[in-house]
Amino acid sequence: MLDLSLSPTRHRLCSGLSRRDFLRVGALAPLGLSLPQLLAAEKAAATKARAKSVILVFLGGGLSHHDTFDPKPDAVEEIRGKYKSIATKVPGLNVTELLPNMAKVMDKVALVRSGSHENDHHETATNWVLSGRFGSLFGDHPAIGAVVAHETGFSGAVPPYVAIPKNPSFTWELGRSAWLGGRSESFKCGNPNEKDFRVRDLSQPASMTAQVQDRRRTLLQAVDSLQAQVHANDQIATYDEFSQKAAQMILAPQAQAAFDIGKESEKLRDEYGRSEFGQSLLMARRLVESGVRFVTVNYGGWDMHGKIFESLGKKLPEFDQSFARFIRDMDERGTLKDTLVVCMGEFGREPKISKQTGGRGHWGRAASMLFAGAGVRGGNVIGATDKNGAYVTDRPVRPEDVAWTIYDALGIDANRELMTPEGRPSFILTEGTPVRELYA
Amino acid sequence: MSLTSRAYGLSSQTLTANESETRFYSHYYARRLPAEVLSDAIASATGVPTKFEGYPLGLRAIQLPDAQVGSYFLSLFGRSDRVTACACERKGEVTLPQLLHLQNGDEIQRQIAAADGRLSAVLKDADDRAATNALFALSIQRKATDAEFAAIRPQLAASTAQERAAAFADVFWALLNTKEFAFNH
Repeated sequence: MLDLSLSPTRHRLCSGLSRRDFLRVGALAPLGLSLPQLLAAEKAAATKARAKSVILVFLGGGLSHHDTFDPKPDAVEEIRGKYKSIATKVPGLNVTELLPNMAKVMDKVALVRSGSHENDHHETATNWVLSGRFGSLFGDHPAIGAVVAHETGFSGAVPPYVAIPKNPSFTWELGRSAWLGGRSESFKCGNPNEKDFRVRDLSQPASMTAQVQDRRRTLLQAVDSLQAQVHANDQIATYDEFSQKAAQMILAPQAQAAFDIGKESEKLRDEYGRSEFGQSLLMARRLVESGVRFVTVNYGGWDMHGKIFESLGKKLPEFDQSFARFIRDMDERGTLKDTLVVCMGEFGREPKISKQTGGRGHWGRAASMLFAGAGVRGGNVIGATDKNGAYVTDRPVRPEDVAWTIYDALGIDANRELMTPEGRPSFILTEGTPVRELYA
Repeated sequence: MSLTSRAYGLSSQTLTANESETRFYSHYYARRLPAEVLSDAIASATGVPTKFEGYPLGLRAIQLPDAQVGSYFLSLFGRSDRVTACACERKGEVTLPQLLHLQNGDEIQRQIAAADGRLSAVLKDADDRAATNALFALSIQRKATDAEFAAIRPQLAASTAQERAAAFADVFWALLNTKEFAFNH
């Protein structure tokens, strides 16, 4: 296997020559590649960033596409469901009647109706879509946010990767940083809708004067010396790094302010919706404005196997109010143009509504997803499903394609190889291409 | 028998020649204490037990029979939820919220400052060096070196008993935040 990357490690070609030998001899010509061309190809791979940050709204459980963004008014009733569809601001695009506020902002978002993969299992599919790589139900591959955190690191005192309120989970935590470890894991914000919300352990009491803070730092430095005896230990290195970061966060007004949702007006908080979801979106906006690179808003509860219309009747108005207000607020403030917003679940839902339970099962083969911001052209509709909303008929978009789109937007080359702690190389992504139609 | 073996007796101190290897046991691999052990270590060092809901005060974390007992500390430090048989459920990694908790957590502050805790007892000793050594012994099981005490002493300047208590509370805070305390080495 010929590796032409310009990484510092030496690579041997199958003929036994080293890369250095190869270049010296000038033997790239037989491959049809000259060195300038090779360097140009390398450069093109590192794409120009369209966004500074990403907000990923994860609809855990699986959003019913029939009853939201991909209505099938001509299908039989047991597939069509109870809702009628309504027109939106985008000519020719209809959505369910339970999303009137979203209908008014569909010109600001791009809709992908052809999300598709082969897995119907919550944990497996969740880990797949959150990392872009298929793996086990326990999550073998780092979540996209964790890779972003790994690539970008801290910017000032705010962590690069935050989950609101915490990472998705069913019975165990999903979308984790996997082998990238604690260093790249999301910072859990907590539920911003709580009364007197405060991020745990972040704020200091007034009695903690500057003098006391100084004394503590000095004392800690005087006694904390294990690293002098134990070298090259990753946990120790991480401890030192985070010890500094934690101290910085506790002391930095910027970090305190970023998480202080109380600074938003009561009126705006009402408009976003006084729910965990509404306030989480508002918090996400605050965080990207303070320099957080990747925010996951975890909004689960979509796994409606039974009495789906009863459940959607409660959940869709909440989603509708909050997400539409969020898009408008982001747009009005100008934050949307620097932020890629992605809204998706781990799969769609079954076309046929069960007669016994009145719900829809898992359906990996079709799902609807929303994208906005960072140059995404609002009003674009990408892909389509058949008349029953069962199979994709046009432009399937797979989990790896979504992941590529996110990395591409941030200017991260997903062809890069990372190294696991065991010394196993692992490509950020092994398949997929960015969904360029989003920007067309 | 294993306690007297060469492998078990290895030091965690590294040499340049062996520091980067992680699988041939050239040295003991220093690692963060597991959740229950660290919780108990803090309770033991401060002399203030942690109360677990549904269990009598004084029951240690390591004695908890089930993993569903609500405890932010234990979840934060990677306690296994015992949902599956996978050893991977227990997480020994170091995270940012853990450091925030050790540095700024209310419960730990309370344990340090408690009137019936070990710090209060140590403060009864008027000799600063002896008191410092006592705190070192409680937390990291050794005495302060001369160099360490030389760096600590200026911070202990106090004109009232209250100020002295505050200064020593910060010494204790620092010790409980060292890697030497949080790591098995």
